[in-house]
Amino acid sequence: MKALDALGSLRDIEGVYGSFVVDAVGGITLRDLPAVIDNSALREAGPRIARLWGAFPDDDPPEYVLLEFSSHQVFIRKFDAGSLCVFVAPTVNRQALKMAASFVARWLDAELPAISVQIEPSPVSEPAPPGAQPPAAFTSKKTTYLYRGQRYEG
Amino acid sequence: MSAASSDENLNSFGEKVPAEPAPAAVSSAEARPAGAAHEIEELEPEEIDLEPSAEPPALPEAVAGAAEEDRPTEPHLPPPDAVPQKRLAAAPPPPSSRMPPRSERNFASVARVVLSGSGEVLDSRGAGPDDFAARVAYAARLAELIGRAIRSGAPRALELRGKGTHTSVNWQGDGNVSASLELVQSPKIR
Repeated sequence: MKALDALGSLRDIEGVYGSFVVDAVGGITLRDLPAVIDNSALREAGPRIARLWGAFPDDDPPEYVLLEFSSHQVFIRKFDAGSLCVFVAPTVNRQALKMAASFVARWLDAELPAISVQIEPSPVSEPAPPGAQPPAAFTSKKTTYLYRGQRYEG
Repeated sequence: MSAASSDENLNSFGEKVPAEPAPAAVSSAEARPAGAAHEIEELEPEEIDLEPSAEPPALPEAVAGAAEEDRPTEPHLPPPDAVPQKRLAAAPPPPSSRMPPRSERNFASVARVVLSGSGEVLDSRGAGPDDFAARVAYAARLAELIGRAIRSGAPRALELRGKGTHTSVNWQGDGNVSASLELVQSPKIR
C-alpha cells in the first residue's frame, strides 16, 4: 500500500475532509488535503502540533488530541515517528475515525521510515491572515497529491 | 371366488382367512378397564369439596415437623421470618448499590481549573492544580496557534486523551478557559 493510499483510506469515514502527517519535530511528511490548505499553513502548524504532546502528563502516554473549531475539527493521532492529523466534520463518527486512524498510524509506524517524500510548495501560498476563517475550505472535491516529488490533482 | 362364504375373506395372497367379527358399538366407559372407570368416578368434580374449610388441612408429618422447628421457642419474640424482612426494608442500600451506572463511571474527575485569557488561575479544584493549570495553558495556546495557522479561527474545545487521563478544555465566551482532568477507567468486558 502506498502512503497516500493509507491516508486516503481515512476518507472511507464519512466526514473526513483530508489528512496530513508531520514528523516528530513537526515537518510535513505526507499530505492528502484539498488545495485550499497550502503547505505554508501546514509548516506553520506542524511544530505546534508536535509540541502538543508535551502537554500530557509525564506518566501518561498520549493517544490523541481533538481540536474543535466552529466549522470542523482536527483529530491528531500520535504514532512513534510523528503525528497523523485528520480534518473532519463535527458530525464525524468519532469511534470509526479513531479506529481508522489507529490502522493508519500503525501502518505509518511500520512504513514511514522507508518512505522519503518531498513536499513541494502548494499552488496556494499566500500568508495566512491571523484569525481568518476558511471559506468552505473543506468542501472542495479537488485534491492535491504529492508523492515522491510528483504532484497529482484529482 | 364369489362362492366364498360371507364369514371368510381373501388376503393379499388370495388365501381364505376367517373374517374378524365386526366391533360392537360400545360406550367409552364400557371400553375402559373396570379399574380405570372406577378412578374416574372418584375424581368427579361434584364429589370434590371446594368450599374453604374452617381449619387448614392437616400437613404431612415431615412438613409439620419443619414448621414446628421454625416456630420461636420464646413466645415474646416475633416469628423468624418477619425479622430479616423488616431489616431489609428499613436499612439503607449498601454503598456499592448507590454507585452510578457503569456508563457514568468511565471518568472520574480529579482536577478542574478556570484560567483567564492571560493565564491567571481564577478557580482550581482537585489534586495538583498548579501543574494541571500550566499544562492546560500551554495546550490552549498551542491550539490557538494551530487554529490560526490553518486558518480555522479560534478553537472552541480541545480534548487531550492519554492512556490513563482525559483532559477537556473549553473556551468560554468571556475569554476564560475552563479545563477538567479525568482519570480514564477502561470498561471491563464481561
